[in-house]
Amino acid sequence: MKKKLLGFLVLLVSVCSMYGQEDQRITITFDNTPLKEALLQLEEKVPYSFYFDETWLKDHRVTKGYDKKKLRAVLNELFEETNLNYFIKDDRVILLNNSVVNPELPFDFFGEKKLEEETQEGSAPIFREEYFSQTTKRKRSIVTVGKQNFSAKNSVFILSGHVTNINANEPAQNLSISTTDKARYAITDAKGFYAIELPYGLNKLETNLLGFEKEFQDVIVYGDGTLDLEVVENVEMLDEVIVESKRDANVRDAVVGASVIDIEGIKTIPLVLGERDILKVALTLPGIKTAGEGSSGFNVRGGRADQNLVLLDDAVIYNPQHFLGLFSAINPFTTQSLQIYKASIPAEFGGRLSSVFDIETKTGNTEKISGEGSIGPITANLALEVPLIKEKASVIAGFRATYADYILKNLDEESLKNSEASFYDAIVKYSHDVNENNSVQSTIYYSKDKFSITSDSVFGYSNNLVSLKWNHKFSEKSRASLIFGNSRYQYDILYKAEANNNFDFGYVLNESLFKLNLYNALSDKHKLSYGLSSKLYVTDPGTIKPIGPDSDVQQKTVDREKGLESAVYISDLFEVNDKLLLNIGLRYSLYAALGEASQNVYTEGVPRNETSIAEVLSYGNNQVIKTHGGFEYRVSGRYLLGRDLSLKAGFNRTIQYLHLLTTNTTMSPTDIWKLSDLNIKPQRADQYSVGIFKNIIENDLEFSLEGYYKTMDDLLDYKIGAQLILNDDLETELLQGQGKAYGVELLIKKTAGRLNGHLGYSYSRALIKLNSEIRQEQVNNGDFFPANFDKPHDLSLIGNYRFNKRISASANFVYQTGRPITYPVGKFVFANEEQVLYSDRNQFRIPDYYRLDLGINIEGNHKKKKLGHSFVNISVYNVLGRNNPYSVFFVNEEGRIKAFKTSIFSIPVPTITYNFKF
Amino acid sequence: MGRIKTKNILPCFLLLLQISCTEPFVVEIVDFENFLVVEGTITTEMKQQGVKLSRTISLEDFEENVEDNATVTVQASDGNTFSFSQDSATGVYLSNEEFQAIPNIGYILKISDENGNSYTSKEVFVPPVVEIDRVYTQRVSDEEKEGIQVFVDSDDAMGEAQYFRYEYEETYQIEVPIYSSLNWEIRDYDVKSGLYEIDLSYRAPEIVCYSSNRSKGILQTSTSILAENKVLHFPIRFILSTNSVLRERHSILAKQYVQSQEAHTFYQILEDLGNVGSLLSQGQPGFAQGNLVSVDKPEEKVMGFFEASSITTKRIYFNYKDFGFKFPPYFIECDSIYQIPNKLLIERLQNENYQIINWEEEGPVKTYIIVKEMCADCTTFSSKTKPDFWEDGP
Repeated sequence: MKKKLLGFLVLLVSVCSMYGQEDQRITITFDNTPLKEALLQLEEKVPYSFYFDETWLKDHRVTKGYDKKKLRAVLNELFEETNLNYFIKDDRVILLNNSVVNPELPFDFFGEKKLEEETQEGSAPIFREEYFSQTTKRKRSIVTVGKQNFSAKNSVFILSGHVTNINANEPAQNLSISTTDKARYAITDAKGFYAIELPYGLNKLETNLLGFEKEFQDVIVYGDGTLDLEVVENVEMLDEVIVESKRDANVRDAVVGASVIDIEGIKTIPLVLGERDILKVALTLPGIKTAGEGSSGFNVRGGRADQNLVLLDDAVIYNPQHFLGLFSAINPFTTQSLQIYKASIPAEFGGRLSSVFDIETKTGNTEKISGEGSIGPITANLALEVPLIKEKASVIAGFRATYADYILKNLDEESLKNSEASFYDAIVKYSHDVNENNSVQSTIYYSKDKFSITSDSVFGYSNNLVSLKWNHKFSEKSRASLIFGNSRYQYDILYKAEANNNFDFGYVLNESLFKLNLYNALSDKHKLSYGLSSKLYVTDPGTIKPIGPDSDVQQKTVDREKGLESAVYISDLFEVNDKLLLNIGLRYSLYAALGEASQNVYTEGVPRNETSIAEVLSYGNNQVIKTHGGFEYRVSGRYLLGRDLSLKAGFNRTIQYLHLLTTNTTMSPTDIWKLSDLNIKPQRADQYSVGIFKNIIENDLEFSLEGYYKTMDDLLDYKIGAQLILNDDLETELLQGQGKAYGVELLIKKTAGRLNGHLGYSYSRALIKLNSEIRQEQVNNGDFFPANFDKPHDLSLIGNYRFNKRISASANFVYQTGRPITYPVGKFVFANEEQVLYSDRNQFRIPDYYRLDLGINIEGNHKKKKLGHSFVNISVYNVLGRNNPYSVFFVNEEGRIKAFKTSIFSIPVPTITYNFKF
Repeated sequence: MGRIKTKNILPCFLLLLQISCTEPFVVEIVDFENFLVVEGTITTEMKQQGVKLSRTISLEDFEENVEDNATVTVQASDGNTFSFSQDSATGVYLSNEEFQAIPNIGYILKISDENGNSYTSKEVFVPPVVEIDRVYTQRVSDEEKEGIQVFVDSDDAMGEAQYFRYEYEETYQIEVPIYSSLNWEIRDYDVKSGLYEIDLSYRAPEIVCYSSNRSKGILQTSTSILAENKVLHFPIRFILSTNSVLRERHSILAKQYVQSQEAHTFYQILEDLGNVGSLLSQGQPGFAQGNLVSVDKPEEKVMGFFEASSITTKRIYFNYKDFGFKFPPYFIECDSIYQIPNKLLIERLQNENYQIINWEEEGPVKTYIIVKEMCADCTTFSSKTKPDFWEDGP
């Protein structure tokens, strides 16, 4: 006989006429009878049906005798020692676990539920439904303690219990149990027992002990009670979380448009050629795009590829990608996390218009030597963590290199034998907790790429950076960090043909930075962050040297450019009230273009070229040529509409003083960074954004819907056919125009559980306008036209399903509108040959892009004593074999125009990667 | 130096995995835009100067759309005006009188089409003259190709010219492999029986002819990055050792135009637009704005360029034997065919213009020996007029 549990909602709706024919007298005897059995016997004696959940009755036995008692009296006694309540409606007896059915609805039932007040009052009814939905099972559901009671006068109850370490099956001692706000806490004794005082109502508890997984437990306290807990050791586990925001952060933070990617979570995502790549995962988030497979650079919310500040441990990394963007240059094994700001950029960051990618390297293990490595078809990677001073200082180092070059050298194919393709990157980070109040860390990073562009040229580029950071704590409320850094990006082209123009071309950019961040929690309501920073840019925009005695190439160096960008900033995290949180930031940045240099002054109103130079001004070393600057407003706010629902809005102004010049439609590593000067103005952007954020089922599911509108000024573009390399009068080739971008982004995340992942969709536009009085300087008649990376529809789905502890499968699906291209619309004969006539810029689009990747992760066993853990990742990229055209181009062959399309991965690409950890 | 083209990056990495691909495809037809195309170069050479006018055509069209009935004049800043008239044979507008571009005088091209639309160019000036230093050949032999490469060297001692454009005109002798001294005529052809008579008469054989080709495409270089204004080893023409044009004496006339920076840039853009293709990164294509505008409708696009350019030329002669190559094959296969007068013979003679080189008689039956027209008569595809400049070899 199976009894049903009625939905709690139903109970709430039908709380009336609770009294019926219950005057009947009952005589019954129980002798150590299980409670369930007792109820069934009772049910036979009365004209009532009982409704209950069997699990509530487990372990309860009754020994009692009743003689001509009323039903209510019997039930009251039966449930006396249990957490059960009951109510009677018509001919039904409905058992309730911990709940009392209220004769009336509470005061603001249909209004806003104010949890804090309820818990303080203590006697207000608590609706468990507020905290979780009964339709979905959670790993750890809410536990109720004590029996609900109308007259709960004590506002504080004692919860006690025992904590077991289930790995060793022994008591967990010195474990702290606290409410998540840390207002109340307790510590387990040597035998694992604890007692904590908790207020009436919902309490969110968490456990904390080094080396153990954090456990979260929500408890509804109706009275004194016990709760036993189990904790697990922090061993290597399959990660379920793919893209993880801080718990609740998506709803509670005051920032709009921010995401965190946790590197541990991305290892199961299938990726091209088996390379785990944190930047590629970033591309699956709405609002972050790339022009196409194999193009470097990101376009964040309609911004250009040069508008992203990519920081690796606080220092700028100018080209975070290998081999033209196919792989990222960020070692996945040494990376802790990637924080992306695409709308509300904190006031401490500046110098780029669209976003900040803040990559943090792991801190090395201070306890024991550990490491991680992988072997894939393209690269091998090894990372080591070595403690230097136990519990205080450690080093983490990672090295990754490709062996593609070795494969190429051993090929029979003659045309490939002389090709070169190699890259590697290395990182070392030292961390030292000097004492309680001081810690230092330092990172050194180097990456290098080298490959043949054509049979007669070799192209190489490298990034190196160094950063040093000192963190100091003045008090619990006040702290500071001091950062020094240096980044250097350079590239080099060697050209060796047979004629007299063999050359070696080099480009170097060097950036040195100093930054002081201060934090002061003034009060509960005001938390101030402020500081100052300064950056010195030095670029050598091009040096060409002859190679060999026969070369007639003249050694030439384009004048060095120098600029100093400084900023002061302050921001206040202002908690206006429980619901409204504001983050008000203000940054003032000032840029000075510095000599030694000569600058051309051009006649106004005529095209800038060699003949319109009116005057040439000379500046001495470190003499200020021109200053640009301005206030940058960084304001955002959050308003809580409910416990797990918030509305956010922000306004963000940014100024960028250096510009990337590229002759290609997509970012390529030979592009030149140009500093603002007398003739080149800085780019500016204003972004308005709003978002609504919702979490449900205790944060397993997160929803966000964001919208933005962005305007940009003085974006740098260039005339068709511009000669950007080795041009002393570069400004004659450049145009500055306006940009406009807007969009809506939807993100649904399932952050935990067997099935997890996310679904992102965005509709967005990115438009550019290049207008001028002068015809040669107009593009598309001076009207707005779509940018190269304007892809209105963008859908990404990442799903991961864990079959068991060892096997999981994942899938990744991407759909995007094809990017715009400039199409040939006709032809004509010129120079005795057919020439192509092109449409207006970006008037057409290549076909839509879609791709499905699948992967399987198989972990080694999880024996505790095992020396190392390993897992194998098998993935197939582009399972559907979709021939996604990356580009369409036209070639003049034998005097006729032929069209070609290129796809990079046109067939499914399977890969196996072996990963290990020790 | 030009832009760095990343055309062959992928072979070194991904073709190895056979996963990338580039394939031709048929372009979807888009409404084409009809613009005037102007190609005008006046030079320092005293001659009838030429301006070519045409219209843009759609991608699937093949015929060049020559602009007829336009009024073309060049105004010089010294007060001279030169009128142009369309040459009926080539469609090019030629100046009615010979003239040459003179330094420090500005020239403006003015066009009005048959609908009364007017176009004008910017004022252009002729750059300094630089002599061609040397035009020479080199034998090229590697695994992929064997042949003759023609190079140009040029040295501007004054150092004023930096931008060079080249054209060439190649002229070569042709000697037919089989001589024919016979003309034929069909007589008494009876359609029903298929019987006919052939009358033969003697003529002088057309053995030697001279053909000329103009270079195709834009050939240009600049010395702006070089220490000296010296063009060295600039390749203008490559001829495969098996090319039939090499069978007899061969001549190349190299023309060197010194350009202004603006003209050079325009030609460079056109050249780049014809070849924007690269696998991983593309140049930004777009409308190449020249130095011509519409007078009445500023928004109307005009394609093309009007330039004044100094020109120098140099001619060389060479022969395949100088390079030790084998005698190149003739343009087509030239087998002699023996044929009695049947239906096939008359078809070959009448429809394909086969030439009779001889005949044999066996009793009443005549057998004719015939060859394809090109094999026995070079005037059918070339000219027997010896060019004025031609110098016979040793």
